[in-house]
Amino acid sequence: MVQTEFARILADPLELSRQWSREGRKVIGCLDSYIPEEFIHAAGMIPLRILGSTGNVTLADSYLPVFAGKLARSILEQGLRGDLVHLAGVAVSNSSDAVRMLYDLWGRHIPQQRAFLIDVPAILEGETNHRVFRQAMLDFKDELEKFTGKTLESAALRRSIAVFNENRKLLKEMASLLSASPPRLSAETYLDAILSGFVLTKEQHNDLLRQLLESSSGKTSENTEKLVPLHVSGPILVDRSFLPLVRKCGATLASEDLGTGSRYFWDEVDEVGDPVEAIVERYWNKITESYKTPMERRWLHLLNQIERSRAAGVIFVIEKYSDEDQYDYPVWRDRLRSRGIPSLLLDSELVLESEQVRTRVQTFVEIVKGGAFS
Amino acid sequence: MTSAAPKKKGRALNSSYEAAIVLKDYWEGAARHRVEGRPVAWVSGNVPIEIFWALGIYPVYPENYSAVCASIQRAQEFCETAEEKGYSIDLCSYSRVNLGIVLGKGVDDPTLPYGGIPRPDMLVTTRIPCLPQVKWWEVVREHFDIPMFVVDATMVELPVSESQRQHYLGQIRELIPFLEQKLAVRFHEDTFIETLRLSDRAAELWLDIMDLRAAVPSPVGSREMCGNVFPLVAMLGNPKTIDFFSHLRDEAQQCVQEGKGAVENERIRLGWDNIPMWYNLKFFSDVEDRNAIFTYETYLRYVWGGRMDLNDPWTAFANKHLDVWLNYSINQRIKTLLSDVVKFKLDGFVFHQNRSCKRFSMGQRDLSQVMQEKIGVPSLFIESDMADPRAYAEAPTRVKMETFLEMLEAKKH
Ligand code: SF4
Repeated sequence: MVQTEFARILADPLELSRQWSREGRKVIGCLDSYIPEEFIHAAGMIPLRILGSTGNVTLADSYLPVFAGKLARSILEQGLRGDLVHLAGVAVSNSSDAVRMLYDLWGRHIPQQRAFLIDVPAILEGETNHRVFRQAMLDFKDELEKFTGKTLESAALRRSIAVFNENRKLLKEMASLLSASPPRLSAETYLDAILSGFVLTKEQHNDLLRQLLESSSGKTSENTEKLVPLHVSGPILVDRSFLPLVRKCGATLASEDLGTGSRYFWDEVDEVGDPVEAIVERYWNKITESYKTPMERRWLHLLNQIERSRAAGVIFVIEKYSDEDQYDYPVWRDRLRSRGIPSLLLDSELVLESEQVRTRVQTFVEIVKGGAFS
Repeated sequence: MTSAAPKKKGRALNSSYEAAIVLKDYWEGAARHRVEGRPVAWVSGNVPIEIFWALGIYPVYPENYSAVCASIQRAQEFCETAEEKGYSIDLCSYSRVNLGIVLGKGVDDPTLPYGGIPRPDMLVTTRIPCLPQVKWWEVVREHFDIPMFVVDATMVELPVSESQRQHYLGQIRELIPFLEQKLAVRFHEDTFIETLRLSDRAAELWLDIMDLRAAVPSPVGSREMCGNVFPLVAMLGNPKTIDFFSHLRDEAQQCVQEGKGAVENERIRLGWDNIPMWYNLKFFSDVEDRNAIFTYETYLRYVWGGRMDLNDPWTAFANKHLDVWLNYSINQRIKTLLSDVVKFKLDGFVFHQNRSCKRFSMGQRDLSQVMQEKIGVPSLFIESDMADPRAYAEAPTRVKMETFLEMLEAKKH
């Protein structure tokens, strides 16, 4: 079953990439959603999204304070511990200040591994920023060409765009099965499918997604009729125990606008015209992450998702010390409230503390069900 | 701390007493501007300040206002209000103070220092010091529903590259018509260049003072200089800043010529990294009882007010605004600090691990390690916050500092 395959992959997310490098394939770890993975793919390498790890941080303590946040600290820990030693390089972009600092720290403490910096602006408005954004993307392309010793040909780029776009389409189809009434896909499977995509080749992922969609079409996911549909928002959700817990509380994920979810895959690359420019435009125009301005694209995406899924409430899963999301949260909460949509904030440090979360989600589900929200 | 020398009373430089007057004047000027219906912009650290003075737009600094609140022990109440509104205790405390005011009783609350913060017509900020600043301004915009402009920049390793300069100037060329159009003001290059001249003169004086503090004994310590820095942040281009800094510089120069130190019998020289604890500036002067002095701060030297070569004003303007400690890569910070620690003859360094200002605090461990390895200068880490006193643990911090000073003293023998 595809579901079992996803679970097997996620049990050791880096195993496949180790295998690839044993086979002589080059893998590039990507630390953010503004890395044009299509370039890496077209250069004959494999982009792998690095999402940290839930283990203890000890080595990285010597370089990053606790308030740099678990994601940045655990990625540095992985690097220092040698867990990522099989990667040909890592690509860092200007996301949060902490993740940006990883580029400097990589150069200082893991100098044997190539670190790329895609030095894009945070402000995605205005002609000047657009020019600089485009140039940063082109510089990255040049660096990749130097790194591999090969020019990125248009034909290869088009092939990569097609593979990535297919991946995005399949994931969007999956999202619509999830928010169908009744849902045709369980929330747990949906999350596993998305997370697997970060550590598989896009081709492998597409195969598995096709199988999943085939087996899910026409079917109704069991026991979902009485579950309250909820929307989940936040930068990252990797804790696979969270959705089963939500289910136990009488609710389920019906839609999301996660940084590691639909915000990552929603926008496609235009397949007409110059492929390099089309890739640049895709990243410039994509649904913004919390560490980019303007925020309105993200807000509209969140609203659209809620409308699609008819979610009765929103759970914000926000990483502790993720300033960008913590500033957004009260604004989003109030905007939702003015539309009569209740929301709940949960703190995460890549994992959600289960006992506290259970109580809070349970209470929230009761409120949503009882309509006691005002 | 145990007293080993007679305590020095009052300010080392008499001119430092002018600081409070300049500050009051600035905030009263802002209020007047508002009342007279002239444009007011809320701005943040490292915005292109000279543009505002040149255009007659009053630049109001909520960050400074938060620091003022902290220094009169009023920050905590506003932080708590912001937290009640849903803003995490882990966010920058300057922003929590400000959001506590804005979303609480409002900026016109008469019980506020200086009678309140003048309402903004416009918001301008920049990512040069940090990204949270931009997010904070987004919240403020949500509240006031007014136009906003953000100046972006990527981190630098000196010298500033041509592409970084062009990125900056390109945005300035967008900012000026934006301000003209939204606030009905007119940009005149001559006035701007004249403002740059005033700004540069103030920066020159300030850097002179900083350099004079490399003298042994040091003429003035950190506590006093933190109280003097404000015009360098907010009033570059305003002639009053030049007057004030001239007085300070002349006095400091005289002290150095006469070999007069802020601390009698100066024995230990210290450096400081990060924003000070505004509610506890006494931390700096307490060490003076041990014949020690804080005589160098990255915050006072590299965060505000660099020099400009006005033969090429626009290039100089861009260089100056991008050449900011918070925007330095870690390697650049190391390079700069190593040479300064030697120049200022520092015996030890204190890193304020400031939970509010993450961008300042990240990379400090590398600085400390390199400083120890390359030049044998030890450092101490204290964990706290620049404006939220709840993050400061008095007793353990004092013990740490005592032990550190004892260690430095022992090293001298
Ligand atoms: S985090 Fe630091 S740089 Fe940013 S606004 Fe706060 S004090 Fe200023």
